[in-house]
Amino acid sequence: MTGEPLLSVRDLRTFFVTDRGVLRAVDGVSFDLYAGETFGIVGESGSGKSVTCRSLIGLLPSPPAHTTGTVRFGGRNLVGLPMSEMQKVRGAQISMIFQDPMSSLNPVMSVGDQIAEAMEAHTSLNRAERRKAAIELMRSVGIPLAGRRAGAYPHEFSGGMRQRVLIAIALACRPKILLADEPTTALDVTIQDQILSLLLSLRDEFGMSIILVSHDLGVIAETCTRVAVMYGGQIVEMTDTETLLTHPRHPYTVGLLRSLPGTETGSRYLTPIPGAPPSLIDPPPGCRFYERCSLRTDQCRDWPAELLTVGQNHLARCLRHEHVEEIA
Amino acid sequence: MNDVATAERPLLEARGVSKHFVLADNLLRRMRGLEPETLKAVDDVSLSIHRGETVGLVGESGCGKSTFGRLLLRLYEPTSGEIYHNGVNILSHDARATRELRTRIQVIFQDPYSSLNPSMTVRQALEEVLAVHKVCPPGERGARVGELLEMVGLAPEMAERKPHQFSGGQRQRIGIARALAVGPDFIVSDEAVSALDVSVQAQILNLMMRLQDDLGLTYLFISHNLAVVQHISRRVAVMYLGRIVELAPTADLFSEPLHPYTQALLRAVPKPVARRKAATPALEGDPPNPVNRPPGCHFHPRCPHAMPICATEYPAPRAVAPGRLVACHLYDQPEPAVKTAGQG
Repeated sequence: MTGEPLLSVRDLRTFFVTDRGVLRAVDGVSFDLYAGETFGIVGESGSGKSVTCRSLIGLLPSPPAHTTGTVRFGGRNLVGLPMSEMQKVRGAQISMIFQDPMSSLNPVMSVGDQIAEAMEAHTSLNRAERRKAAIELMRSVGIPLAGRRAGAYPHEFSGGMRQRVLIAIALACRPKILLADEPTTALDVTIQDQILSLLLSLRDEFGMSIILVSHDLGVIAETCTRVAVMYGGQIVEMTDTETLLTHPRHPYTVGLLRSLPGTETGSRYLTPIPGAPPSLIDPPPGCRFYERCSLRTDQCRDWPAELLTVGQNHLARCLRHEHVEEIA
Repeated sequence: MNDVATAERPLLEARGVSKHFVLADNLLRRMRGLEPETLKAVDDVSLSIHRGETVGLVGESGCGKSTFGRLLLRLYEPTSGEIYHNGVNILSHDARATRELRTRIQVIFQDPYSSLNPSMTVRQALEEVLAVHKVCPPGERGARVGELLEMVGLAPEMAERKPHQFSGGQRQRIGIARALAVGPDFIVSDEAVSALDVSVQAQILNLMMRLQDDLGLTYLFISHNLAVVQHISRRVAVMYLGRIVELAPTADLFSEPLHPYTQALLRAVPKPVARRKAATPALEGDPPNPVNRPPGCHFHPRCPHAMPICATEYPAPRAVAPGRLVACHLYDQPEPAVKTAGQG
């Protein structure tokens, strides 16, 4: 990657104070996002991928969440920005879409009004101009008969169309960055396919960058240029998508790929990762994948589990990364 | 499918099964000459499943795949059609015989958490099943619970825990143990691994396959996840708006799908290989409203190969190769149309 990153995240940490101790949901995440790219964050439930995404724009209430680190965007650090300042960034320059469009939409407001409302806060357009722009946006996101449908309510739309409405709201102020947290997980596969195609064409049309969070390696593979794999609140591997899929250098990434059905040929049984992810409440030092790793040695328990450079633009948090090919 | 399998009697057979839900029907509608508004969730579906095999049933939300599974379990009564288990028509059973049938046909649901009683320990839940179906004498129930847990890869001492103390994968193991408790030969798996993370999903799929190998189980594997279905099934049926549009051995279906809907579905699945996403989606538009299905072939408004006949006449399922059925007018002519359509 060349040039200045659009967004630069360094040592991002989000902890939750719970009755049982401090839960380290995100524990030292660093990455850069460049203009025009789609950056993927992949991981399983509880890996910290969604919390990372929300922490970037301060969407988690504090307390209980406590975020530290830096998120450099437009010359300043978004972490710790006062609420009034953050609101000028959110929606205008960085927008977010979520998994379940129905719960993100206002059920008693027409979709046209909801899209126009997003512009009201951040633009100087008057009422009629906003309405016109809203219909134009509905057209760009592929809602048929946009002029007529602008007066309809969310329940009158299908799941796929609702997600298109949500995308229109997110794009209302032409943001530089779109955060998409499992945007297609609740949708059928043919509708998912439509929404992903739409997101990629809008990215090029609007000249924005996308951070796409997903549990689905297939979705990430088809849409992202670079990808970070998260496990136990940390990025365990980060590189370009093709390298990750063909030459993974972290045992967890290998485990994920081998767990996928429909890719192996010949073998009736799959190769799951044994055990379950670790508790993030006061986790022990050392590698968080230690308990489930087939390559572990005693050293793995004690080392500070840092991200190591294992190739060009390729980082892996594994002491034994040179041996990963043996199990891949 | 091989000839041996077709020769023997299927373990489970559905013949022309339909389930229509009447949504709106009242005197006023009738006086205005309106037909009752009906959702044809399952419409004239025939499917045979042989002992020891896994048949995958795929399709998108609302295609009727779960309703079909529930008909086999007699959780719904079909509007028409016949269902045979081991050659016996299960729909003619009275209440007592139906309860006995429940020891032969069992189900695993997507979310075991909502089907387990939160205040009961696993032991209580499993012993209750054993007691209700009188499958083993009271004195042996304790030992049987331990045995069942071991079968699904859980430690016997976990029997004293309650559902909330288990992870999602462990709860699904309990769901499987409960299904196995009565010693069934046929299991309907309805999105059994859909809520699980991939690494845990692989564990549960392996468990289901091992149990099939050990106990000779037969599965109807209902899922929206094509990769999972491809892995576990011997044959796959594809449903669209209440009908089976294609049925084929798994390898054939995935290497050469014949129905345009199957072709689009397979193209839409994101695969974990680095490739640029196609700029145009595999299929445009939303699935039509199942209450008001398009006439003729229900897929014709979205079909890239639609012909005039498709709008007027539903294509009869046609055997195009051994074990392969497809309901599509493209295959009405014996030869040339087949090849060009396959490229689609």
